[in-house]
Amino acid sequence: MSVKSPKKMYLSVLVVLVLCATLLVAPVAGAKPVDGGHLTIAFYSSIQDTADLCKATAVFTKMIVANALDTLIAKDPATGLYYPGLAKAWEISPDGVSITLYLREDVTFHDGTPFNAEAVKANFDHIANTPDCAGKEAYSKLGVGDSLAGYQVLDEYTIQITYNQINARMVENMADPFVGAMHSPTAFVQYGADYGQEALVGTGPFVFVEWTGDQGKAVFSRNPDYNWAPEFYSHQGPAYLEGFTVQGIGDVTTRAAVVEIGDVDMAIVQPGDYLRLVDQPGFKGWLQSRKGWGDLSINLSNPILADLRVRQAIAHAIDKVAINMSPVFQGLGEIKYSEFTEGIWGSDPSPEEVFGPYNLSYDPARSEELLEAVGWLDTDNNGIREAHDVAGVEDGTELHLLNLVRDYEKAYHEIIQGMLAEVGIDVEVRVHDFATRETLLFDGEFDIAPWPTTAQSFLAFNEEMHSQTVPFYNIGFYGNPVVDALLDGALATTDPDLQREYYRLVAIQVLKDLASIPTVKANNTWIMADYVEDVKSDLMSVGFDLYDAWLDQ
Amino acid sequence: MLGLVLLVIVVFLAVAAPWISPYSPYKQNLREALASPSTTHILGTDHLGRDLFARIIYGGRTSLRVGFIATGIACCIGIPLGLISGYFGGWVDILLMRLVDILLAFPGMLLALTIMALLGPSLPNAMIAAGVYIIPDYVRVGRATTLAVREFDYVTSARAVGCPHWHTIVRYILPNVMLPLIVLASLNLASTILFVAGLSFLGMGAQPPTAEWGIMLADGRLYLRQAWWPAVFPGVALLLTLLAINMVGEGLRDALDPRGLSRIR
Repeated sequence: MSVKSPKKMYLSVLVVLVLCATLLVAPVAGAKPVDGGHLTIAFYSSIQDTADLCKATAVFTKMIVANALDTLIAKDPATGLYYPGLAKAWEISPDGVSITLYLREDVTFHDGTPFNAEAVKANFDHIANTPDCAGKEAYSKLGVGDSLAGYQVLDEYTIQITYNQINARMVENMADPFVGAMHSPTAFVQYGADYGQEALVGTGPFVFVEWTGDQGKAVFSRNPDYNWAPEFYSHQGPAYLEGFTVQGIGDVTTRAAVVEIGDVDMAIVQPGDYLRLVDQPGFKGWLQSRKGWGDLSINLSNPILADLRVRQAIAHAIDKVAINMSPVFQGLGEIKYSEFTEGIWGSDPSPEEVFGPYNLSYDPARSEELLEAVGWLDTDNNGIREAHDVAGVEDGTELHLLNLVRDYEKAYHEIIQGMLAEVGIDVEVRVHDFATRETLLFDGEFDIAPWPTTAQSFLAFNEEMHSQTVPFYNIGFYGNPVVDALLDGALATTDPDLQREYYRLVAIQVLKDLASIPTVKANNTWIMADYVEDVKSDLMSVGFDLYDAWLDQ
Repeated sequence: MLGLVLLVIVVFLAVAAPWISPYSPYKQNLREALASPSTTHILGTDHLGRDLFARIIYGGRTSLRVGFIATGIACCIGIPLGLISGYFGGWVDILLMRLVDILLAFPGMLLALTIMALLGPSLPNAMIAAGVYIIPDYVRVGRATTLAVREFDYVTSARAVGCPHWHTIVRYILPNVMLPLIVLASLNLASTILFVAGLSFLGMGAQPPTAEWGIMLADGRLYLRQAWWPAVFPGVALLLTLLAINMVGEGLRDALDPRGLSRIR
């Protein structure tokens, strides 16, 4: 068969190729956000205690209500970079002790109250002067009664906050929902002590509608006037969603069931259900990498654990790879090499590259050698070692440790319990609710305990490892003058590279001291209906940012 | 007969567990986690790779121990109070019955959770909670039977010849009220096992790594969609054990307590 016209043939082939390419690209290029729809989410809880973040103690509350609030400075959760928020610009004084915020002039609260410098001052006054806020996170981050010298309204849209010393956390704190999120001063007056229980009035893309309790619902609707989103979002103007509802469901299997049958659009589930549902028609998954630090905290005030060799024995007995591959994590966790996760430290170089050399490998034989060297022997062959000439411990005392956990940590810590039992350490895993456990931890009534904390950056590490914060947050009674000096140095500079170096040295020293043993970090495993688009991670990387979210229905 | 056979099997497995169990109930093997039933692990493994057959038969030891101790607590407290109440009558009877009424006013699980909140979550505390919950049963049955027996001639004669009260109660009344109490105890054995399993399911009873059916059900439930055996087999074991105990208890009641004095709730 002869080709009648080569030119026509080539042209035909070219047309076909272009058409094919168009068909391949078109679906991707054509997906545009659609207005409308109400998103329902099954989460650990709805708003837990109060929506007034100054008084709130529950971290899940912050994640939910942040969708109704804006912060003075905005931080991109994806990159960690700071952008104008309610403040269109800011200036740090050359001596590093004050920050001046130049506020936007086009913002109103959900109740119509104009946003200005007096509103910001009213918010700081609320933190400083409300009895239920004293000592809590907003209070300490603002520096009330400590480093805060004061705040001044310079003009209608300018406010200056001044500290007694260099404050490396000024910008971060203004981006933190606890300190930097603005609530309506009119609402503070109108609702008084009931603000946060009966109302939440911010400037954010969503308006609080109602709340029916911890294991009930928190309902929000779209703010039609919203037009001041930070520039890292993919659009401006009102949110696409008409609203959203957070349904508090504490039981993880129930959350999986309700998303599977379509009662909710998305839910945080356990890894096993994630893997089961992620490839099913009608669903997709979101593996949300948690930021933060902290892991198996060790109570150094216990004479048994005061010996570094015992802590090293514990570290050598833990097989992180096996933990991550267990049904508890299904390979979806992240092996930790230091106090800092990749989300805090970054990936170039990775935490494994920087801190891996300082980690103790899984080596049960070495673990047993260390315990025997200290004087922990199992002479009665009951599987539990007892003390023989161990400093500070009566002879015959069994090597028994108490591990206080929350219910969702039980399965994970049963694995650690089993691993430590292999080397003759008897661990009691005791489950407590959040509040009871915190009280016991701060009272030092534990031996080991998971103490992972979600966080935005290195800077909050000071609360957990500085000797001055014992026992509130520094639950392990850890005190090392070298670490204290490094942490103080980090706060005394606003140079981010220098801060990073300080914290690298801190993390290495903490690894050498084994004040806390890095194991495996759980990531959030979300399952959602396949029509849910563009849900982003919040600042804490545990919750959700719904401003750009939409429903492709 | 079927109940008795089942119960004998359960008791045998529980007693002989250390000799017949192929594995330790506590030994983890994460590489064999959630393994399906096979010749290596006849009932499969749980989420930590522990052999389910071993954990179930050791769990039987735990459950039977729980049942006997909880029931024993109730008997040791409830029976004497019932005998005293029925024997003396008057304000003693009124006071004790009002105390019983207060206990009965609480829903069982609420009472147990209150006790656990005070004492802390553990298996011994769960046994105490379960025992306290059924004390009213023994007080009432003991009282009811004592009221009848104290009018018998030999009791009256004993009092007439100057027998001390305690001697009369122990020597003449107690032996004659034991039958319905024995039947009650046999029936309560099942209910206390189930009660403590429920507390363990809620995380208030047995603590890890204890092999106990309630906690095994709670753990297995999380992986039900991936592996049914860690939840189903402990549930079947619990079901069969309770069935066996109840059948034996019913049989005892038919034989020893035809008038149904042991029926309280």
